[in-house]
Amino acid sequence: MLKRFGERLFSFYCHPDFQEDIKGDLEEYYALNLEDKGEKYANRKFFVDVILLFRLSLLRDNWFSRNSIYFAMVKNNLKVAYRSMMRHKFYTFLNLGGLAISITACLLIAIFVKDELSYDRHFENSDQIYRVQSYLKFADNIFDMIATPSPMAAALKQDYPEVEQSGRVRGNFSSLISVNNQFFRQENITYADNSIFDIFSIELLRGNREHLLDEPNTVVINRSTAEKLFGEEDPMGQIIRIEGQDQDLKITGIVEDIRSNTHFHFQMFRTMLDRGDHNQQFWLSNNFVTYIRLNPNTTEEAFESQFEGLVKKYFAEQVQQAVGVSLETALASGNIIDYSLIPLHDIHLHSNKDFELEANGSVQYVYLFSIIGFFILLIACINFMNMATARASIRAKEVGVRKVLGSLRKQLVNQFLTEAILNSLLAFILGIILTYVALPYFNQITNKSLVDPLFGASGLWPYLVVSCLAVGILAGIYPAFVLSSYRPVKVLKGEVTQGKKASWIRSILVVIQFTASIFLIIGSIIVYSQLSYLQNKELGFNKDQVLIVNNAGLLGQNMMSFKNELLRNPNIESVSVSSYIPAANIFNDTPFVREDATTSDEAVSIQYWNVDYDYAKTLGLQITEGRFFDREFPTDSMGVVVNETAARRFGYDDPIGKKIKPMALNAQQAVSVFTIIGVMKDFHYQSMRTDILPQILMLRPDIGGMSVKFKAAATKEVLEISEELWSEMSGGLPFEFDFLDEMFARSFDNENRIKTIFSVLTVLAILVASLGLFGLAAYVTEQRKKEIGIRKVLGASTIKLLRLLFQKFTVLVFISALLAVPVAYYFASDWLSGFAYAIKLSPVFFIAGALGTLIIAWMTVGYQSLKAATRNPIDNLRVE
Amino acid sequence: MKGTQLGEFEELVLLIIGVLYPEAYGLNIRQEIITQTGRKVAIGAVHSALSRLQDKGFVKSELADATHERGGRRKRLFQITASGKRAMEKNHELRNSLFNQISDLALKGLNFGETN
Repeated sequence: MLKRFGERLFSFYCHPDFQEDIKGDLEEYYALNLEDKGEKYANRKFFVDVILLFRLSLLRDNWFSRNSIYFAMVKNNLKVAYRSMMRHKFYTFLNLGGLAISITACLLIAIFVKDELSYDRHFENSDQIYRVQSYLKFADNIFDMIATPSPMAAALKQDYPEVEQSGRVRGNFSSLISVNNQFFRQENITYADNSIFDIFSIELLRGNREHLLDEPNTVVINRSTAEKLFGEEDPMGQIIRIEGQDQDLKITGIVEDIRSNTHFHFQMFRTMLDRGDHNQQFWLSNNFVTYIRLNPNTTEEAFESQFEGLVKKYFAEQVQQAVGVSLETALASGNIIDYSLIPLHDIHLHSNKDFELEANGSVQYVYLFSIIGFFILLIACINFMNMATARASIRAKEVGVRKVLGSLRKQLVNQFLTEAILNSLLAFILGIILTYVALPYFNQITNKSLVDPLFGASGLWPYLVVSCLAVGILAGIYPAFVLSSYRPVKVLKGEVTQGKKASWIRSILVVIQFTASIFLIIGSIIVYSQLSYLQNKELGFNKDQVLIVNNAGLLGQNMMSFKNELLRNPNIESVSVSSYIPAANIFNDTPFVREDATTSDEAVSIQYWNVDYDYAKTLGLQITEGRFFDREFPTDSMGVVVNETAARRFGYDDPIGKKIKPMALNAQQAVSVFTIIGVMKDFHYQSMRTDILPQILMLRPDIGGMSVKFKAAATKEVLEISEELWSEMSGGLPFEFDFLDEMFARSFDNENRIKTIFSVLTVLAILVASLGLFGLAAYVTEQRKKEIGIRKVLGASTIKLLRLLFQKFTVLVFISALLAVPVAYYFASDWLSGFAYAIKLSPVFFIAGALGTLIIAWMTVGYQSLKAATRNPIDNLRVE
Repeated sequence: MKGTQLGEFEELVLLIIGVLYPEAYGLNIRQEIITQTGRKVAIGAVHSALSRLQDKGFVKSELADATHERGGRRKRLFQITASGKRAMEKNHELRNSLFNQISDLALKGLNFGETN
């Protein structure tokens, strides 16, 4: 039994050459043992010997021994690939350079996209967190915003058990603060409910999470702010003074800095209890951002349907009071009160509403850049394919000899694929190095702060390996099949298969490259023109030579003498005191109606700004009718200046002298009536992305800021004088200033960033495509060397020869232009539709894009062609 | 080609093949090693050594005629080749030469104050 099993086992693993005699030996030994020591012992001995016979040198052929030839072949393939690369250094350089550049571009894009997609996902239970947002329509005024009524958060938690937690923040502003009489400018301050720290798992370094902001005059700051304000000292319990409000706040907690991939970056959380309106039960005013955490079993849709009931429960009474009609009637006549949820994950890429805490990203750009990245990589792969097939004749003999010597097609395919993968591997290594070199610039352009996005924690490196292989295979598969298909008899006879088919496919590939290039060129021309149109558009106010002095109100009694002293300087033309400064993104709206209005349907949502007598002069506002506020008319305190849009919306043909009033919240409320004394030209007081909305100016003291208009070329002097006066009068407060034109330019930071990224990508794409074209042109010209020589001998001029060589590429560019223009048109009009003020798409953009590409193509091909066309024909013809 | 070094056990097997000539095959080589040296040797060890020796070209083998013993299986008879012989001689010479170079002192050891 044991013996038979042993025998079987032995036959299984032993090499057949050794089986017979060893089995014989075992048998003989068995017989010997059987005689001497009995069957049991013999059997056991037999089996033990079989086990001990399991030795490497006696084994049967196995997977390892059979495949060792393949390992050797891979080594050989690598060697051949290396040699062929070294033999054609120029092409290797073009291939590797192109691939490496495009891989760098792709990596950077991937890093960008990954970071954009990671926003807010680092919070615990982030998939349960939602923000409430509102869509309100009231008469002809539409509000699509993230702000919600003050009591919303509390009501949601109280009425709906599926809401685990709710909390509010309000604002994201900057303020001058002081600690022990040292002044700091503090950015990113918000008011927050204590429950915000329960919703967002912001890491708490000090303090008690349950009791951070539940008392008045408390504040929580982040780690870097604590370090900035207190250095080594213990910040807990210390006092921060908010300048201008005369409020002292006690630090009750320190949180870790909020991660960069979060849709807000608050550095200081003041308790909501310090706001007078924190407990206001008024539902018709939307000023608070509400976050909620739902329990895990509740879906967004299921919960959203509850809002209708909530509106009925809380709004009915207040709507009735405010507009005099019932909620049902108000809604039936076209007004909308609609609250909804947006998942936390979607806020960064999908939300672009009024009052966003910060400018968000856009999923549109994520898609756009991903597509461009793919295109750039595709262009580089096509380069590789083109170059490999175009130079096939060089490798043809090698293929022929290999085939004659017995290479199978599969092995040849393997060989060429190995070559492509080796190329791709080298290009990836180069690309990774370039990526790290470019990372600081990348961070600067994209306003991110990534340190080690490839190999760091949750880096992209696992994808690198896969994509390296994928790129190698993508670029190598077509040449591998073309090259390995050659018939040995033909190539060895010298009939190089310069097939029509291969050249046809090459043309298609070149067309794809140019289509992508033309698309990108047109795209960047349009992005460029649109953004410079916005930045240079007639603003309706003067942004140049205006100095903004922040916190002028802190001067208190001295403010007026500061102003008067400034005015004594001949370089200063006028000074206006008002914190309402264009480009500062100020929203302050309330509904107004005509004095004779009978229903609330006539309400116009108005941006109302408080200004002084010198406002129009300082900011260069243009008055089209009537006049601006004047000290000679004491009644001006009840007068208003409206913009053209407001005049139109109120429906006054001749607005001067007509009266308007703010809409009363209920019938009992007495409201002041204002007389229109002037109409000013619309000016862009908000982002250029939005329409100009109705706006009025009122003569009211507002001491937040000061604008100083000065004469050209006196910037330095004015700055010095102002600073000097400030330090005389302020008693140690820091002088904080800004220039209006710079503030305005900064409001385009996001757009400029997109512009830069787009331009860089376009340049890269064109560079890579040109590299490929350059190589291809060099090859084609080389092929037609003899033809050129003969034509020249027969009397062709250089121009004629050039035309001959240019002809094909020109045709290809034209075909590409035909393909690229419609696609570019579609995307461009889609993009432009997001702007309230957009350029018209003129054919010039498209023609310029196509022509630009053509010129680049000519220049690329031109060098090679000119060299060939001007060469002495004897050099071309002497070859054999 | 594998290295042509002759290992200790391989050398032993080679010598035994010479001793048993012309009737050296797996099992009696093992038996001879056991009787001559008193070592315990498995059949596998012998065959593995034989196969290595053959790869190195130190022995050659041929199958003998079939008999009724051993379940009708043929024996593989081993012979030393010329290069096997050379390798043996080389080892032998090397050993002798090294042995002769050893001073008497080292062999006898140092003795201090031996009493007898």
